[in-house]
Amino acid sequence: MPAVLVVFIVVLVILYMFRPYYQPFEISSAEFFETVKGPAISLRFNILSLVTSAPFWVQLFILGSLLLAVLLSDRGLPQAPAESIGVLLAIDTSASMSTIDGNQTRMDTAKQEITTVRAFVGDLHEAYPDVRFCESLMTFDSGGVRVQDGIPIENIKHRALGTATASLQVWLESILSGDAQQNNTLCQPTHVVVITDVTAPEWVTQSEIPIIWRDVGEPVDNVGIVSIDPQGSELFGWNGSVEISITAYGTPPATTFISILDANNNLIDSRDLSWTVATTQSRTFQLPTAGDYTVMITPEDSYLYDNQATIRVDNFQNIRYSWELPTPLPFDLSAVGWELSPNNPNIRIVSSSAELQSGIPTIIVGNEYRQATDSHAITYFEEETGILDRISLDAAQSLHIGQSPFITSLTPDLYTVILADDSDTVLVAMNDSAPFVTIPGPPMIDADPELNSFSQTLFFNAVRWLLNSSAITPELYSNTTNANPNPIGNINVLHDGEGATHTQNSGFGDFSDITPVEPQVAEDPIWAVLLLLASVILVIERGLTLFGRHPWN
Amino acid sequence: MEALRLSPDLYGVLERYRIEARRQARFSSHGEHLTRKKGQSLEFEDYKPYTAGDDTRHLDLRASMRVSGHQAMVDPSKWLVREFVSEEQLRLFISIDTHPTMRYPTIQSSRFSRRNTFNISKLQFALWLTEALSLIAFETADKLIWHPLFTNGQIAKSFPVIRREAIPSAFNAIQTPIQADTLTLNTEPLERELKPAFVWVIISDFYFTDPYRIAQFREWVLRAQRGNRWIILVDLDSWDYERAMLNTGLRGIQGHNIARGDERKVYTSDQNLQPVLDRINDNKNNILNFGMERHSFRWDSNYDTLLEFQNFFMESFLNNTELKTLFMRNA
Repeated sequence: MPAVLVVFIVVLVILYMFRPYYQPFEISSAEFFETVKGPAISLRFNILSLVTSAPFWVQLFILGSLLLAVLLSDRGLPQAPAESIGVLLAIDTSASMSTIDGNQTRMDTAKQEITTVRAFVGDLHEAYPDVRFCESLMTFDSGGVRVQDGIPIENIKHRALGTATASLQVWLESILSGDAQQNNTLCQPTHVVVITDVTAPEWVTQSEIPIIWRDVGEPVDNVGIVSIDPQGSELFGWNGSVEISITAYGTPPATTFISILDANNNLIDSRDLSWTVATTQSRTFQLPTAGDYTVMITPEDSYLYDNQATIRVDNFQNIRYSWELPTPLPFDLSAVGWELSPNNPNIRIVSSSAELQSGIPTIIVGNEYRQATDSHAITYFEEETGILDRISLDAAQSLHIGQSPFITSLTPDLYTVILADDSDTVLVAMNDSAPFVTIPGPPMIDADPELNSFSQTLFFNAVRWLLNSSAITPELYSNTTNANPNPIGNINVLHDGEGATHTQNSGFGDFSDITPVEPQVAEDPIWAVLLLLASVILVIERGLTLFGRHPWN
Repeated sequence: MEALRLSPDLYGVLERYRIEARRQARFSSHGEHLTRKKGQSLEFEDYKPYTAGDDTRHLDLRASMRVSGHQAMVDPSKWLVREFVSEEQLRLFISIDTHPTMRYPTIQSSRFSRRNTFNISKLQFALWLTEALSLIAFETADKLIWHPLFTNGQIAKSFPVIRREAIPSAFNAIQTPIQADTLTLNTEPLERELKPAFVWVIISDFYFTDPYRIAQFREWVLRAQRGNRWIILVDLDSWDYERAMLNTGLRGIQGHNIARGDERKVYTSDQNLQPVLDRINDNKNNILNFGMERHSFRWDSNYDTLLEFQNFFMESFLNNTELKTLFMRNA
């Protein structure tokens, strides 16, 4: 196709060239042109006269400048750079910086590193008096990156937050792309010094400017709480117990004691963990009533934030259900912790879509599983929701189950079909937002065994899906955040990886990498210069056509 | 586009020119003419007593005897001699070529506004020249005639102009377009007016190519020459301007006798146009090989404004020595 287009254009050009335009002129001496012969070859224009024409070259230059401006739109003009040293100091203020190495915290070590860096840069300042120097100080943790220029170093504290080197990376990239002023830093950095207790990530080695990654964390052993999980299931709800997971980092102690204290510091329960290797162990505790409980592990070690956690239990949430069908429930669900509660139920079982109440998970149940008069083939089934888990579609087909009776009262845009037959009869449907599930009939226990299995499985699948979507699992505690950085109440400092103080980390680079550099300053775009040049020459050329003489006019 | 009258601004310049012409005439030698001597005529003014050296051909014995009786027959001191005033008036016959080629260059559009257009034709120049000559000649001429060199009878054969007020009607009549096919030399006024004392100014581009017209024209110029009339040939030459306008490139040449659709398709290089210029010059030489001087006004290569074209006219006019001689002795 492109070849055809090129040929077409070439043909057009040839036709254009051989169909010359004779510009008409009316003159008094026309009669004397009688003997003048026309051109032997009639071309649109004379190439020779074109290339000897000054206006042609000027116009070509203007056009060329415009094309170059487009082609070089991403290029800049080189500028004479000035040497400078701009040191950006970034200090990790995550919780792990509170870890005691020897007889001081890692934050204390970091502050000594800052002093060392500043002394080194001060020496450079004396050695290179003509070089521009500047420094910016900032801290970073999972709460983000904060500029601390002008803040005395002794005022820099660790925070009960996690480490977030990724956010540091993003922030540095924005700084290096010229956003220093927007971020209130005092100077464009030429070097970055990061003082932290984690290993230098890969991106540090690929940075545009040198990043000196100083790891101030020496390996120390630690045992800490890593999670506290409520126990139960989506079908039967939380059973009032919690599983506490403890991880040992480095060389574990022989035994670790786990204690549960209530709000009055009364010991509720305690267990011990015996360690042979550093691993994660869990213990399950049954909590008696609602209230605040503190989980403590002993003995105390170098990193304290994961030695204690507080959880809050509002109430024990048995699944409350409201059975609103005319036929009674054929099971005794109280045995599995379900509580018949028409008021404020977690789930309702009703017989009509007219009884739906907004926000309460509901199963709409048909009168019975009845056999259809004729045979139906199951042709549509939706498996992703789990409502059809372990359902025998063969059984559904052989039993000739009829449609849910409610379905005629709902418009199709109010439900999603889960199970339907070849005559588009809807057997099971659901709605995400109501939420509800419709099934043809109640669970059965004394019918055909295949029908018993089908009806019970479908009913509890519907319950499981509805309760799962209603999220009844209690949230016992939350981690500190930038908005809530203090571990108060059931806000804990159990950030992933903060307790892993045992690792032998590695840094990157050295202070000797700090040398005067020619910074990459933002370049003036070359397209703007070309555009300006073309514009000026165009104005002159146009002026000459207006006011000038031959050949410009 | 209609020709423009001379700008009132130029009247002041011409007025100074005219005063200068009058001053020159007053101080000219007694008895001599502004026109050529061969055509001089003398008119009696008064008698004066004879003094030695007076021309005895002007002795009037009858008058002398009437005053002094017979004594006048023997005493020269009683003789009376006729005194004459010299013929200082100018008889000017201005022929203006009305051939269609005189209407080019057609219209010069201003580069600054399409609406601001002006006429730079040879006819425009000829009319300005005629008007300027007339304005100067009013003081000294006793006969001033505007004459369309060619006619087909559609306009008056000639226009006696001896008062300033008569200029507009003559101006408009001369510039009225006429059918070119039937043009013949306008000989009737020539027969009538071309007396011995006339100065005949012929303003033309001499682009007419018809052999009959050329022969007729030459015959009349030769007749006038034989009568020792002062003939001034004013050649209006716009070739330089038209050449610059054509520039170099493919051009469809149109004009007199070449209708649209029949335009001459040429590539206007210098080499290609040299034969055109040769033909023009050959034609002019064919018309004008009388051995007399001709005065060419050559259009400059460009005029961007009407003012520039007016300045071209004034400079050309005021610097033309031959035309000055018409009015100023020893100019």
